[in-house]
This record gives sequence, C-alpha cells and structure tokens, in this order.
Amino acid sequence: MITKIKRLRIVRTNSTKLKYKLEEIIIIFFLFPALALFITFQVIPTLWAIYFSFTDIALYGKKLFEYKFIGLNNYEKLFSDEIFWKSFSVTFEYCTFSLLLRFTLGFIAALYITSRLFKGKAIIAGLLIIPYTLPGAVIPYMWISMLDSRYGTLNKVLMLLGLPPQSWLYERAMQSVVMVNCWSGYVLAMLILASAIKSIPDEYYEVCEIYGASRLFKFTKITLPLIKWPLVLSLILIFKEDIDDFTYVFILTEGGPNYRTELLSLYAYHKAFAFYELGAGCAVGLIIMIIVFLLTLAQIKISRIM
Amino acid sequence: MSGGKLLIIAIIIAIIIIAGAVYWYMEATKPKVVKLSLYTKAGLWAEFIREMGILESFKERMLRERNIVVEVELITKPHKGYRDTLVADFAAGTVGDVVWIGDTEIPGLAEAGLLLDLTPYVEKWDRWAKFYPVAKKLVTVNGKVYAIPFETAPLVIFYRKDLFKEAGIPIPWQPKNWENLYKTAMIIKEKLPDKIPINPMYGIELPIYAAGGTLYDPKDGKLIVKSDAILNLFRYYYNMFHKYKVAPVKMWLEKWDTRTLFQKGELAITIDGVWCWAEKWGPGMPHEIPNRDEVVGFAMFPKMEGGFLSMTGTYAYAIYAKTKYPDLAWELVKELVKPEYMAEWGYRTSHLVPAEDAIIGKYAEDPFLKWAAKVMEYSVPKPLIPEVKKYLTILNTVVYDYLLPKALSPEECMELFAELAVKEIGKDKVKALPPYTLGS
Repeated sequence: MITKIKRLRIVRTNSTKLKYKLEEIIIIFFLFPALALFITFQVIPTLWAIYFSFTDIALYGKKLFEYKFIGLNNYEKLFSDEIFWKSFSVTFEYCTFSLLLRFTLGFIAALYITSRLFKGKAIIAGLLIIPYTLPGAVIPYMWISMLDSRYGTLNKVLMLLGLPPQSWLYERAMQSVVMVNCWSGYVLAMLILASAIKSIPDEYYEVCEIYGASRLFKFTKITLPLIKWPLVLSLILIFKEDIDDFTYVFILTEGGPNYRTELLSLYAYHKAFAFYELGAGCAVGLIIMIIVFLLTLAQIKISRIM
Repeated sequence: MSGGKLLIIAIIIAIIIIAGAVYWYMEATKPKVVKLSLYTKAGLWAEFIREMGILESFKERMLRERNIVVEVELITKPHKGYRDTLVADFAAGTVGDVVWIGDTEIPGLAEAGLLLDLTPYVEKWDRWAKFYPVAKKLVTVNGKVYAIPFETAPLVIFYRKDLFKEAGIPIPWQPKNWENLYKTAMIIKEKLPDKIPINPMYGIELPIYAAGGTLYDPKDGKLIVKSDAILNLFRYYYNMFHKYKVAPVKMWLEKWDTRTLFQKGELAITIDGVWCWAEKWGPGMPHEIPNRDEVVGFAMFPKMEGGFLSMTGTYAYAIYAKTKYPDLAWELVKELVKPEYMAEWGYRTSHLVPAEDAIIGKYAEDPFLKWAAKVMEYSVPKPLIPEVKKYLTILNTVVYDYLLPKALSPEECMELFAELAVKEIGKDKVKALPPYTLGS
C-alpha cells in the first residue's frame, strides 16, 4: 500500500514537473520575439558602443574601418578635456533646475487636478497634458518663434508691458532651454503624483474633516506621507529623462553660447559628428549610460517599496 | 509500332521541343528587373526629381536600351542635418545606390572607400569635358573623380538698393577692397542708425582666401593654422564686430535670421550664396521680396587689398561603393545630370550650372545668372581633405565662442586657434607659415 502511494506521489511529482517545464517552454516561446528584438536593437548596439569607446574609430575617413583598440585613451582624453567637465557641470545645472521646476509645477498641477475644491478639472487636466503629447522636435521650433529676440512673441509682450526685451537664446540660453523643457516636462510628475494622490482612500480625509483638521494638516500629515515614494520616484524619473536630453538644446542653442548649454548628450554628438571621433562619442555615451543605470536601479528599488 | 503511332509520338516530341524553345526565347527576352535607390534631400530637391519625371525617363531609357526594368526607390532625408545623416547612413551601410552629396563630405567618404571611383566612367563620357575645371576640382580627390557635380554656388554680396539710396551711397555698388567694405558699412551705420549695416559672414573661411592665403599646403599635406591670412581673417571679423561695430555681435550669437532681416529691409549688406536670389528672395519663396529686382543689388566679395574672390561649393551625385549595380547607377547619374535638368534647377534656385552645355533655355537668359557666372571665374574651391571639416569647426569655435562674445584680439584668436588645432587635429598635420611658429 505504502509503495503504491509512493509511486502515485512520484507520478504526480513527475507530472507537475512536466507541467512546469511545459509552462516554462510556453513562456520562453512567447517571450522570444520581444527578447530577440531587445537583443538585436538594444543589447548588441550597446555592446558595440561599449567596444567602440575603447577604439579610435571615426565616423569618416580611413578610421571608419581601420580602427584599433586604444584601451582607456578616449576616457583619459575626455577626463582631461575642460569642455567635457564644463559639459558635465552644465548638464548637472540643467538637470537640477529642470528637476526643481518640473517637479514643483507637476506637483502643483497634480494637487489642482485631484482637488475637490475646483470645477472643470477634467477639461483643465486634458489641457495640461497637451504639451506632453507634442512631438519633441516640434516643441523647440515652436519656441524659437517665441524666443527670437527681434521678432519673438515673448519680447513683443515684454515691450507691450514696458519691459526691456531679453536675449533669450544668448544671454539667457540656459534659462530658456530649462523653461522649454519644463513647459512640456512637468506633465510627467503631474501624472505620477495625481495617480498617487487619487489612490489615497477618501476615508482618511473624512476622519480629518470630522475632527476639524485644517487643509495644511491634511496635506502634511496625510497626503505627503502617503505619496512619499511616488514623489521620490518622480524625482528620479525626471532626472533620468533630463540627463540625456538632446533635442531642445540641439535645435535651440546647439550647445552655445560658449558651451553654456553643451549638455553631455550634445557633447557626445559633437564629438561624433563635428569631429568625427565616434569612439570618443561612444565613451561619453557610456558615461551617460552608467549614470542612467544607477538611477534605474534606485527607481526599481523604490518601485518595489511602493 | 505502327506508323500512325510513330507519327503521333513525333508530333508530341516536336510540340514539346517547340514549346520549350518558345519558353526559352520568351524567358531570354523577358526584361530583367533591378532595384536601385536614390538618396536625396526631402522638399525642393526630391520634388524637383518627381516633377521633372527624371526617374520615369530613366526607366524608359533602361528598358529601351538595355531591356532592364529598373525600379528606383527615392529615399529622402530632411534638409536640416542632412550632412550628418548622410555620413551616418554611409557608415551604417543604409545609404542609397546613388547619393546627393556635398563636396565637404566627399574626401572622408572616399578615403573610407565608401564612394565608387567614377574615373573609369568619366573617361569614356564625352560630357565630362564640358564641366568647368573648378566644378571638377570639387569632386576630385587624389586625382580620382568621386561624384558628378549638379550645381555650384559661389558666395557673393547682396545689398539693399533702397537703403543705399537713403544713405546717399551711389549704386550700382562694388567694393574694391576690405577698407571700402568697412567704409560703406560705416556710412550706413551713421546715416541709418536703426538699420544693421552688414552681415559680414557666410561660412567662415572666405576672408582667408580673400587675404591671399589658403587652408592647406598640398606639398606637405599640412593644414595651415598660423599665417598672415589667418590673422587677417580674425582682423576682418574683429573690425566688423568690435572695432567699427558695423555688425552687431548679437546677430550671430543670438542666431538672428539674416535672410529675414534682409527681406524686411533691416539689413543693408549681407554675404550669402547666389542661391538666395531665387531660392530665398524669389517669387513664392519663404523670404520673398516682391520688388526684388528693384531693391536688391549684388556685388562680388573684394580681396583685402583689391581684386575679387569667391568660394564655391557643390552638390553632386555620387555612387555608393557597395552598390550591386554600378553600371546602372552610373546610368542613373548620367540621367540626373542632363543639361536640361541642370539648367531648370539652376534657373529655379539660382544655383550655377557646373557644365557649359547646361547654359540653355531660361537659365541662359537670366541677367542675375549671367552675372553670377562671371563670379565663378574668381571662385576657389575648398581643399578636399578629410581634416578640413575639423579645421573649420575649430575656426568656428574660435570666432563664435571667443572673438565675438569675449572680443579676443586677432592675435589672441590665432594663438588659440593654433592651440586647439594642434590638440584636435594633431601637431604632425598642421603648420605655421613664417614668421609664425607653432610653439609661439
């Protein structure tokens, strides 16, 4: 009798194992197309870029094909290049100001569209999302016509108000690109935070109201603590989005004047396309990738806590 | 076997043989199908090819002459950033069989072995003798021809006749030397203080040649980074922007649209390419000047101490070295550069034709184009070596980032330029002309 049961158990275990194996095969089968695409278009180019960053490959001339391995030379050259460090600090400045503005505006917008005090929020929320839906390459062109120092709308408005016109794309180049970035970029924080605020149960607020708590109390003691992690997540996501920004500065200022808006991504582009030093461009790309990778790790960790 | 049966078998065999022969004949005479691609700029450029039906007439010719059905795919890329996209597509191997290419990109791509050497083809082509020498130079690297020019475009001076009249400057105007240019700009500055007297640059290197210098010494293969001519280039910009203040620094630093300023009559003199006449200020164009012929004058750029000079570039058709069908691609190039297309394109966009047999039709009658053709006599091409792009990028950096905003003196600019060039291009590839030295 006991051996029969044992045998039955073995048969059952074997069939369960087989079932799991089959499931695994099915999962791999369904994952395969996405995995193949991911490997072809993400992993392989990344590995190539990493390899190129250790070579003297050029985008042009003999060295396009006759390049050689040069070890850490590209990195040594980068770290001794003052423009690289300037670009690094410019990127940090850009990310910091963008982060502050995008986050603050996004948070205010999120509070507004989730508030119970105002009417017509659905329409306003729809309008607020519009900038985020515009293609990235259209936004800077639209802003060029606004920021032009002679014919731009912004200066015309300033002059109507009796204020002096501003040199937006030269004297205020960094402020201008940050402003353009924030104009559309605040929506990301708004969406994350609005959904986080919406997920707080109404009962918490109702209890507060019963006890006559002030709005400030509700905000500081309920809303803020309960959206703590989405707040941090949105900060990381914004920073991650901004650190490899390219389109706005490329179209608005091309990194000028005097490298004042030369973000790392643009520096990499100039290395690869103006000086044709593809290897050096890839080295900059790899540095950006490492930063983004670290931020992604933090993001994943926070997502798990949430 | 009876005779009847034999006959039937013989008939069947005969039918099979005849059918086989007919099938073989039909297969043999059936046109071969070949796919080619043409890589060009979107907008005006691609539209011109479509509108003129160039690809259709090429297809017809190939079917007629070679019994080949050619399907030509038109690959178009945006005008902005076209050169960068082109270089990247060449490197990635995703460019077309026939490519619309600027002269600046030719040397590096030829050196990388990505452009087909067209020398054996042009040697057997009668029309090649009709191309102007300067146009040929723009596509020839180390004695080998890598593209067939379709247009050339020298730089000239455009001026607003209406503003000149207001300022009391006689027209037609032709500055004889740089002093003349400065003085005229200063008169405009004095008489018309709310107008911008001059936009002194298009590209950056023109004054080097106008000061009697050059960028490159073919004898030792080195780029020149210090010379009297280079110092004079910095002096020219320094005088315009800082000493005489006839060109506002902000115009370039803030990237004012000089063509719009000129169109609106806010800029009196501008240096630009001949194509502006039709492609920018012509009827139906984005910067159209309705009474263009009355208010726009043109002149040649003067040399520093007398005489005239212009620089010219070209756009041409090249063939990708890895094309499967080099002979057909060459036939397509020959179709694209036919004299009638060159002339029509030249007339529409005021680009100059690079071959004498293309001076036909409306092009030949146009007074501006007739004048511009004379400018070609004074035109010099850029040296076709890969490092020139890097050299010009550094020169741009010095002018835009140091001379303009920081008013660095011409001497300081030249020192900085040499220092950056040594760092970026390599000390073995650059040199200083006496009395200057690289170390000083």
